[in-house]
Amino acid sequence: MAEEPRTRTIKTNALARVEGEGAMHVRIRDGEVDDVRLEIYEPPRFFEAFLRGRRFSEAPDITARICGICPVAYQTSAFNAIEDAFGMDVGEGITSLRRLMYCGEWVESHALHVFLLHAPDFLGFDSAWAMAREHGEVVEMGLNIKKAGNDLLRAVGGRAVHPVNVRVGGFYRAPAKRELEELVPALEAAREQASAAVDWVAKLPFPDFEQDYEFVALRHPERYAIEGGRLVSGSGLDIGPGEYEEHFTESHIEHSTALHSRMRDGGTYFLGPMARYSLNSEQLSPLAREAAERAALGPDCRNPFKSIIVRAVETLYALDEALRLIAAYDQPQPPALDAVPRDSEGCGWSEAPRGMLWHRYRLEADGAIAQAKIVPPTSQNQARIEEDLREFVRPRVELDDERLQWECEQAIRNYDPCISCSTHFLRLEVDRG
Amino acid sequence: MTVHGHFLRRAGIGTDPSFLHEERLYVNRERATLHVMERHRDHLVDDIETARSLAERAGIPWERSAAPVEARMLAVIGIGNRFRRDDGAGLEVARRLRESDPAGVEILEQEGEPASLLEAWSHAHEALVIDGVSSGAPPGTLHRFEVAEGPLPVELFSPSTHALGVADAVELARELDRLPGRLAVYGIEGEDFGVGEGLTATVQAAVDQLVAELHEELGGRDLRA
Repeated sequence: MAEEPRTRTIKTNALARVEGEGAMHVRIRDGEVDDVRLEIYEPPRFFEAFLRGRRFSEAPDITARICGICPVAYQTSAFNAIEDAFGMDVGEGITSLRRLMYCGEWVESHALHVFLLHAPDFLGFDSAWAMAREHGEVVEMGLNIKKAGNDLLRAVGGRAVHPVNVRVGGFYRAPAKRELEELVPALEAAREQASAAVDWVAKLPFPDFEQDYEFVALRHPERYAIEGGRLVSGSGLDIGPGEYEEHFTESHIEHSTALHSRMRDGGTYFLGPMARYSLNSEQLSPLAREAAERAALGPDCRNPFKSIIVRAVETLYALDEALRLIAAYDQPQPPALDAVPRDSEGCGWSEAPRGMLWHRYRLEADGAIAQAKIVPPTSQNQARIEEDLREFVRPRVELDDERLQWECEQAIRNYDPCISCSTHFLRLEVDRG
Repeated sequence: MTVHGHFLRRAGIGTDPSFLHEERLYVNRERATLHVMERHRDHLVDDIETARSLAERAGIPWERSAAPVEARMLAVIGIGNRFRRDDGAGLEVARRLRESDPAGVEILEQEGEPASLLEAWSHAHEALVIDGVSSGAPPGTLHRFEVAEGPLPVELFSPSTHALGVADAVELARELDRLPGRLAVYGIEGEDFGVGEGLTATVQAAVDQLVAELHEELGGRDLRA
């Protein structure tokens, strides 16, 4: 075997305009994977700095700008943290309306990922539009489901992207019941399609790949956790948002400007739909559980490629849950509680479509933000994605670089990394020594 | 409606039960959409009445706004992220055009996520999309494309802070028969896409130029006709 060292850059695609994002390096020595390094996420440091000195009331709207796909997650984690700091309990009515809006975001985000980003990988298409040429009806179905999520978000949040109707303490305006009831026919139609979507994704070809994951997700005593709860893990963790930093650490990694999160014992962990499903599937609605059963998901799922099925199941659940919440809706009066600032610190979290998102704020007595900290799901999953890739590449080192890149991108997309880095962006360097 | 018609064409008219099932879903969805639109119209009428009586009670002079409500047929869609310096160029163009409120024009600001783009332009007869791009051309260069003439150069409208690029959205719409009658895409070559607010001076000048150009184009047409 030739021993002349070489590093070949296989593809430099897109993202040239945003340096430092989206690179993967694979080092292969003597046919063995020696090292895998991934830089896919730039943490929202800019926003943390940007928040300092701003009013607490601006935090939900500012942090919502971090991501166009999960603004509700950023808003929810922000007001959960600030309400924690101010010692506020907004009550069931406002919480239910927040959950309803969050369902809209899950539907939108999951439908986008399942149909436009992930499914083409499985079917051998390099883009959603190439897939649309042969599977137009499936893409239409996905867009239709997504639109139901948009419409829900618009009805509750005031806008389909970056909802403007939310505030610390509740909503500027709570929709009347009739406004929500108008969404019912479209939500029902989307629910029917989402059920068909579960059956469709279940038939995709899945690589044989299972790992022993440490799943971490929120759990709520009464419902499938979305807008809040306690953080639990497969190995018995059970903590509140204020204890997060005692159990998880963020550290700078030499090769990257990004931060990697790990558990205190150094282990990696797994956030997102598969973690939620594996820890809380018994809390899904009967309709969603039946669909999961038809798809043979089992009580937990350890093949990350099957996360596409779990996402479809959660989409169905979110639509089902939205319909339940609308039926039970009682317009909260008043739509918001007054927030009284105090010198305080608070932490909050919620289940973003791609996993738990944690915020911490230190607030001055006059309501100014002294310090903000945001730990997004993608940076928490990053170390786990690298481990997956190491295991995944090992039996595939003989593949040519193009094929290897394709399969690695698919493996990364299993985690639905944040929008700024979720598509065909990857710069792969394979160093075969 | 296009979705339904498109589906028929793609799937072929048949009696396959799964097809009939899908078709029924589409029909239901159309019906639901119509229902929602009718309800919205009714609520708007109610809201106007309420606002009028409140204004009268408060002694605020009230009169019908001068311009009639016209059917909005042209959509101008600015795309970008204003926290990524020059990536906000498209948004800035949209914001500036909105200030003059051209008649018959719907002005939208978006992230560039393809499904939302499709939705934004699929009900317009004509759409203009403005995005920040990076192709290696000198900063401030204006690129112009008519979508009817062919695919956009992917390397120009590749994803940055957006999930899929505008080029993907255009091709997706082409496949799904969801392009407006005319779709023009303007790319403003950026200089700095780092985190932060505000455009670089060169890009600001390009924005000014494009805004003036679009003003002229939009002002010269009566879209209410």
